[in-house]
Amino acid sequence: MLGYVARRVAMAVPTIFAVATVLFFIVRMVPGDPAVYLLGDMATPERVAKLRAEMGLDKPLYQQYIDFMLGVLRGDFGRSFENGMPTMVRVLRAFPYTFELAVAGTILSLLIGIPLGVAAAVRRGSKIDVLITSGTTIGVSIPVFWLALLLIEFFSVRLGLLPVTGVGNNPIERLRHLALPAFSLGIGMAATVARMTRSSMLEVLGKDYITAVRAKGAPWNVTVYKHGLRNAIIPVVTVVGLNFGYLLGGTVLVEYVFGRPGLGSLLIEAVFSRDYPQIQASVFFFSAVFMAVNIFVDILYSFLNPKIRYG
Amino acid sequence: MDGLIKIGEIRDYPSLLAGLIIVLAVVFIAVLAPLISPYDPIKQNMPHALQPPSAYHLLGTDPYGRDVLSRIIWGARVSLYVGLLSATIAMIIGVPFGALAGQLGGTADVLLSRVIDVMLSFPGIILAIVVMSILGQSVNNTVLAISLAMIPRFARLARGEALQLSVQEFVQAAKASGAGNLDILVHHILPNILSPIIVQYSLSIGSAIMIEAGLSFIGLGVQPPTPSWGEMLSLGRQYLYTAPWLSLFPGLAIMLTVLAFNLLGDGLRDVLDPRLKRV
Repeated sequence: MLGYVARRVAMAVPTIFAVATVLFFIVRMVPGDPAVYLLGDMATPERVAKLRAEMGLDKPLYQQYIDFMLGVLRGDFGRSFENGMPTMVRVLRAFPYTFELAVAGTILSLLIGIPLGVAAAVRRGSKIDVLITSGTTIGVSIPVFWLALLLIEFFSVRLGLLPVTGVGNNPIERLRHLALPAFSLGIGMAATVARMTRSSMLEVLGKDYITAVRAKGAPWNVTVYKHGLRNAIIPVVTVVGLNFGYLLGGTVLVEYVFGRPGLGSLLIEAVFSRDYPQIQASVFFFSAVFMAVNIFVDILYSFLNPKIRYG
Repeated sequence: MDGLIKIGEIRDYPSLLAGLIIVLAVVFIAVLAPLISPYDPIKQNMPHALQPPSAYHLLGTDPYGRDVLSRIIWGARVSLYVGLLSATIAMIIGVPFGALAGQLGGTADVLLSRVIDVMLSFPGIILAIVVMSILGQSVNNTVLAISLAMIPRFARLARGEALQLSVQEFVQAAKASGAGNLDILVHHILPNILSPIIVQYSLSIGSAIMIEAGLSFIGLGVQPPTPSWGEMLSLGRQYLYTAPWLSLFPGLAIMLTVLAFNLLGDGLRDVLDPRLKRV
């Protein structure tokens, strides 16, 4: 098991280096001189040259690349053009807001999706099944940012129940501020979870051991939940993990709508102010988290299902 | 492809039928936009600003007095253009590369798989956002950014399918009889992986439309005054309290169109690949 974990982590190392390399070159593809952009067109050549030297832009490309990669190793992506703060510090400050949103969205999607999927599978072919199955097809087609607007319109504008923007400064307020963003994010994912739970449950419920459990006289509920769901949950875990990237992408839009100061808002802000070091740091962090989650899911999967453990 | 159905049997595939009908409807609306759109989608008409839905403006007007229905009708053009073109480009680039890697195996496969891994380690919309920030905002750059984000999906799918095919007898036989790699790819691999690719293509059009709407919503995609559903929603966001219709209808248009391509994809899967038919 430990060997498998180590190998899986080792496999990610070249990928993460490649990601950093892509980020280095992608920013250098931007037309124009960042120093000129920062100082404006009116800046004297001396000032531009000085800033270029400070930013390391006067060095040869390979030297810039080496400096950049050494910085990546130390977690140092340079300072933000916007306010001079170290970009990674800004990323780490924003991350908790994104993290709590992603976790809350995932939990909601499981709480909604799994029971719906089980209900549909158990009553396969019934009206309930048709309703849930069509519902999930619609669910995956709803744009998260539109759902966010509808939820704001209903719960905040009409009913005045929940706040629209900000994050709140005590635990209860924080939860209240999290509710709408988490729902916006969780509904689409819940649809995916429900779909996967349904098909996985149907497969499991058709297995011989389920028939055996039934023949033994176990009640239907015990059969479904203890023997069925337990085995059906494995592919669901994988789907949740694999969709985490989609979820992270969704947080960008949801944070934008609700004005949450997370990673997504930081990225969008950086894009609009052409704060390239900040873009690099934010995207790198997004990718790193995404990869870490994928590794975690692989490990969890091999843990839940010893059949596929190859290590 | 022997999985094709006769026209009369299409009723046995409700998702395919529903998806096809909505997709065709959206295509007609987009093509006929100049004929059916009641007003000019771009010309401002300030005295009529922010009117709720009425007999004159079925879906109301926006803060510049433009007719929301007309903008949705014209917006269908942008959505379809970006959706179809980005999915097509992603498919044309991703499939041959992926298939070739799967077919050849060895170093080529390892290299390509690493490239796919790297591309997949950026969540799609984030990759698109970064690319847009470098290319600058325009419709065609949006297409480029989205295609780039979707290439790995096609490459990974094609690779997996080709890998399975490459060990089968008919491919081995072709190889033994001296067929070149390109020949095998074109005549033996590609025709046999078409079904899952077509399904993925339909689903990808839906995702591309969704990403375009997202990019335009945050102001990085299609730029005003070109009517785009995402851009309309971003305007609607500023008027949630006073003009909720601005946020309702463009979102409905996005949802219906994405839903249609998803239904079409699911339906095609049922038709083309009975093995995968959902139980």
